Amino acid sequence: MNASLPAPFSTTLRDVDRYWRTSGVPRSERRDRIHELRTHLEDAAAQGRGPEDVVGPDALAFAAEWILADRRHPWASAALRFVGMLAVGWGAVAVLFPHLPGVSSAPGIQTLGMMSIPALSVLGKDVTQMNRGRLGRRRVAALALAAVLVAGAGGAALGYLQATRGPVVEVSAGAGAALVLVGVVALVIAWRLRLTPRGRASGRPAPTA
Amino acid sequence: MDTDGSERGSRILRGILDACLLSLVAERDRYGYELAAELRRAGLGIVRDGSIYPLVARLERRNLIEGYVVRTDRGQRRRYYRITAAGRTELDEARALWDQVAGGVHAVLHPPPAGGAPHGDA
Repeated sequence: MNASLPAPFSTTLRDVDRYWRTSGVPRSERRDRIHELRTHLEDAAAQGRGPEDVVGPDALAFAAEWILADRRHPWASAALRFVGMLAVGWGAVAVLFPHLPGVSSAPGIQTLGMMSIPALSVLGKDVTQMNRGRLGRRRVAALALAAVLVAGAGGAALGYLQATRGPVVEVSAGAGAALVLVGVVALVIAWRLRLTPRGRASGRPAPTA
Repeated sequence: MDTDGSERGSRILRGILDACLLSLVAERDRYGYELAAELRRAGLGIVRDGSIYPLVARLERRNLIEGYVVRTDRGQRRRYYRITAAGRTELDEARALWDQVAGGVHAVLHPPPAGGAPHGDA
């Protein structure tokens, strides 16, 4: 991908590419952006300039800012993704739980709490991404640590509730199926909001004039 | 330029940089590095190269410009940007607004030499 670029440039390009990949940027769109950034870095290198002159001191903040600028309603997309994942997770558990061997009742709050962890992780990642430029590396690391601690405390609290009071909230299989449906709709809308003009325009012909 | 001056320059530019990019693309189709180089040539070197990409993305999202890829002789894939009809309208409005704001700011920052006592003094 970056064989001809000097080391600091290729490192920047690799970091940005990895960030976009882990942020769920569609592959074709990611490749398109990387090509554009790569040619810019090549031009900068040819002019004797450094990668910081192009992306600034924090390459990941640059990557986050660029990707968010393309998206419509990034906050709405993040919220819908969170709600969708939560609903699908809870609904799937509610539907499947009664069919699991050795289980006699509907899922309790602890199970639903455990199923919330992936949705909360994704929400945390989305929020961090949207504020990457303002937060900086240290604050992002501190936030990640705080999130892990809060998740641990929440899990312990749910475990205590489950142990002392039994299933506090029960979700029936019918309600679970409805939750899955709502969740899928939310995820589809969130996915559509993440599409950008760049992705839609791939394959547009160059002008002849 | 010192840090304070550079920050002030960045803040002032933030609101008008999209119009500058539109204007450059209106002259002829351009790619990212070209846009950044033109801004530097115009004395706007306080703008980091990469900061143009989010702005270009917003312009593209609003259908004011559109991008297309051209393969160069050296095998590079350059993404060029061209202005749309909506972009030209937006640029005309931005130019008119800038002329008005710049004229007003200049009048305030460079007042004619004061000749008399302040109003209200006896």
